[in-house]
Amino acid sequence: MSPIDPDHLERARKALEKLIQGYIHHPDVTLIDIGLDPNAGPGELLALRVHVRQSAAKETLQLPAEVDGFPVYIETGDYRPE
Amino acid sequence: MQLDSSTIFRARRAINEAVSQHLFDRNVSMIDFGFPEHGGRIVEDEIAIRIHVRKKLYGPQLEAAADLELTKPIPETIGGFQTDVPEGSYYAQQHWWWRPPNPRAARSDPMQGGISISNARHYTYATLGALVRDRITGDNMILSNWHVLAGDWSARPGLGILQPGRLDGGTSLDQVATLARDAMAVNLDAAVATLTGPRRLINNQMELGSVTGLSEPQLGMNVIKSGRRTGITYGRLTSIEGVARISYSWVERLIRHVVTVEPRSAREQTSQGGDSGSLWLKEDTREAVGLHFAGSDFPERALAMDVLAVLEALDVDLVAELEPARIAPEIRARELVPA
Repeated sequence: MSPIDPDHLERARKALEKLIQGYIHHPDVTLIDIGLDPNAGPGELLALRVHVRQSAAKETLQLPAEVDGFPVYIETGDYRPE
Repeated sequence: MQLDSSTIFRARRAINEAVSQHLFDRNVSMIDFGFPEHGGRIVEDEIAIRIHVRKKLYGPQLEAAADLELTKPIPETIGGFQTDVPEGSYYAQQHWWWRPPNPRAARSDPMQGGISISNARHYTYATLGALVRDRITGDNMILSNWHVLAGDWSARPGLGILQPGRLDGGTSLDQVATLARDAMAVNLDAAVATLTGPRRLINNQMELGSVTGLSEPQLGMNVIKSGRRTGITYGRLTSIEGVARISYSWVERLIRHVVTVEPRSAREQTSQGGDSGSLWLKEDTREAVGLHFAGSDFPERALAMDVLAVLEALDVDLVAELEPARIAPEIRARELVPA
């Protein structure tokens, strides 16, 4: 795919930092990152992803629907060193 | 057949006599006490002193060998026991338990990315990532993870690194490097070890070829890696700029610059335990993208760190010069140098 617009990516990074500061230390959260928005419209490629240890946390973890215009999605993932 | 103690005592004396008379005959391979063979059949209601020979000789052949003092005839009795002369040659049957069939788990010379390593303290294996070079000293170094090369929080520079890893049979005789430094203080599960000893490390990823350079990770990028556990696997980058919480020996740390690799189809696997330290490459160009360090099974995902951030934090450069083997065959024939 084409490279992401640098300004769009930079704005996503700033939004990501806000989400990290707010939620990275939540006991159910394992990873927060930038991914592709599966429901992206024109020019809106990126989304923020919050990974939780167990899918049950999706119901209890109260996340904002978006941060600075970037949608927030919840993924399940429990990661360990390999 | 049950033997009384008197018979056993006499048999031992007879064996000693047979050993002193015949064991150093070059045609004799073993002397023991057991059932004789008559007419091709083991007779289990008789006992004999058995003098095993490599080749049974008869008549003139035996006489000629005896005349040349190559052997001597076996008497019909020794110490009151009948003798038997079975034919048999025996060899040590070594099982190469320390040389597993997986080439990634074997001792390698030269070494390359994708093969087994471990530190000298932990009974495990993981993956040698790549050849890097110290920006200050120019020393050649192994790139892998902190949790591979150091392994725990008490590790200090100078810790031995073995190839293959201990769980693949590596011992102190297989030390190839010593731990130099790591990047955990800046939230990267990465480390380097300085090569020691005569074994070389080359710019090659097993079954993939040489690393050609560096690439910034991009969403949707197709990647490939060569790892000790799962060998060659494929994936696609689905995230960048991640921050992960990972437990290392019950100590939880944040790891930054994380990229996620997901399989391209539902049945594919990206990684398993033992692949830590593998280098994810851009599939079409073989440029390095990420250093693998973690994963999950459900769903199947691999986590790597942006290799650009890793190299900067460790103050090393990735070696991307092609090995002589990549040069065209007609040139290699003229300029090939011994390893």
